Amino acid sequence: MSSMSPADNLALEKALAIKPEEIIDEITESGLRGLGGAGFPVGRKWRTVREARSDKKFVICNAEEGEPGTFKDRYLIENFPEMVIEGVLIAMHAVGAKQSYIYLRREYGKGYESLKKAVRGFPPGLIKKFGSPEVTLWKGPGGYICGEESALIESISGRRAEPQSRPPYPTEAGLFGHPTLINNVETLANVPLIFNMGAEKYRESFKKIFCVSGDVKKRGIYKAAPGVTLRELVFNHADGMKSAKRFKLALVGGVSGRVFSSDDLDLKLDYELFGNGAIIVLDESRSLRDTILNIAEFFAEESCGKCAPCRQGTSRFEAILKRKYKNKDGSKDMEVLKLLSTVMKDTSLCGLGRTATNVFDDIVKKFGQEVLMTS
Amino acid sequence: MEKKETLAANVIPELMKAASRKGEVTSSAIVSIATKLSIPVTAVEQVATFYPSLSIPPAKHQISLCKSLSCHMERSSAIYKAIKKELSINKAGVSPGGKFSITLTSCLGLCGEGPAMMVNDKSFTALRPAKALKILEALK
Ligand code: SF4
Ligand code: FES
Repeated sequence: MSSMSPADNLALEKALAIKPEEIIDEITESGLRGLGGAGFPVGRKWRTVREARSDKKFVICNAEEGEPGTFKDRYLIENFPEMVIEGVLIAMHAVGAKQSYIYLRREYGKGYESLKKAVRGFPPGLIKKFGSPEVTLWKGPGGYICGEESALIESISGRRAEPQSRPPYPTEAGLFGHPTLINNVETLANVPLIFNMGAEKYRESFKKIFCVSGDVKKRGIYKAAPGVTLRELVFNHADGMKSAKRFKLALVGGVSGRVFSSDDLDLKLDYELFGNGAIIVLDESRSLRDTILNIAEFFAEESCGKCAPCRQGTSRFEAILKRKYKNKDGSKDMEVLKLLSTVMKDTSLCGLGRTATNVFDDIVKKFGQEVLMTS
Repeated sequence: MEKKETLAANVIPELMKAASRKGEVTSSAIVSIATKLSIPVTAVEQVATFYPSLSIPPAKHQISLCKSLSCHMERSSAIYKAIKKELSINKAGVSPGGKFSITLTSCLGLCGEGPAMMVNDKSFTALRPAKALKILEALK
């Protein structure tokens, strides 16, 4: 799949042979959902942009992978750039966009080169049949918040990457005010597969990419059907724990995701649970306070600072965890942290502030706040 | 085409170009970008200060070492300490003569092979302090 041959363009040929509406029907039929973490039905999103009335529309491929523990977009772009581009081209054709951007973070220079090569590799005749669309590889300065749809649009527009309140949604008024379809790399890379094998067969054989890191024997990329359990991923795919130390917990969906304890090993990981597919495994020797502090530092640094609950919340959270607790057992500080977490969840403008304390909340709930109270 | 809008949209590519030449965006670069795109200097400044990767200390070899959770668990902090000591990195994060600069960054998308760092555009993984120092030694 990594080299270009005529057969590889089958998906493009097939998509060209049918009407844009039929492409969207096919996508809907395939059951494809957003794989960047949101899980929104892709067909529905495409249809909204297709039906939006505007003389100009855009497609953006979101390759601003920034969630710690996630490395699937890098893997896809570096190894299967053609599939990403095919997905972009089909999406453009389906929604009626003549221009598209692939928003890459600055650190993905290698991926940038492979995408550039892939774009050049398509037969010019075929591209012409698509109406010679414009695909811009956009290397951004990066930052976790740039992965948020509206912040990403701000960034391409040449502004600070600050999330915008909605409505309007990007699908209605996105880049330069025009309807814009934004899909994640993995989502778009799945699109050619749907046309290669047909929606029905695709639906049955679909596999999500999981990124497993942390205290396992074999860290890496694993593909599995939704419904796979954490036990299978950790103990079969990743070959179990790295040392004799036992499994303590896993962060499913990265540092903004949810905590799975050993009680949750047999839960079926479906769209609602797997997040973006990042799984960070911790063994019993890990300090949970140190883990929480590392996560707090991350969010304090990555918060864009636009709204007060998140700007102040993330930095206070970090400050409290960094210093010695006020009373001996830390119970007073723990109350403050819990309160901050609630306020941030309820009042932050975007997903960053609303998910920054997910792991903290879950650890308190599943392991008891005592595990965080002693340093 | 929304000429004005798309012209202003060039501010980030221009800033990135300036940063890759100088390591960090200088104030004279900001002025010339503002003139070129006919937008206010303050507008360019506001964008430039927002993105941390546009203010990496200038050096011949810019090291970005990941400190996010997966790499942190693989003791990236020990690598940071070793590099700082061995290369006599100063408070501003730069080695004598401006050969190396080091910044701790968020996840580089290499968590499956961490601890990870990038030196300019190249990535290095599965680091241990000795291995990292050897890589940098070869660049000296
Ligand atoms: S929640 Fe945080 S990241 Fe989101 S807009 Fe507010 S300050 Fe910015
Ligand atoms: S956590 Fe270091 S590369 Fe992702």
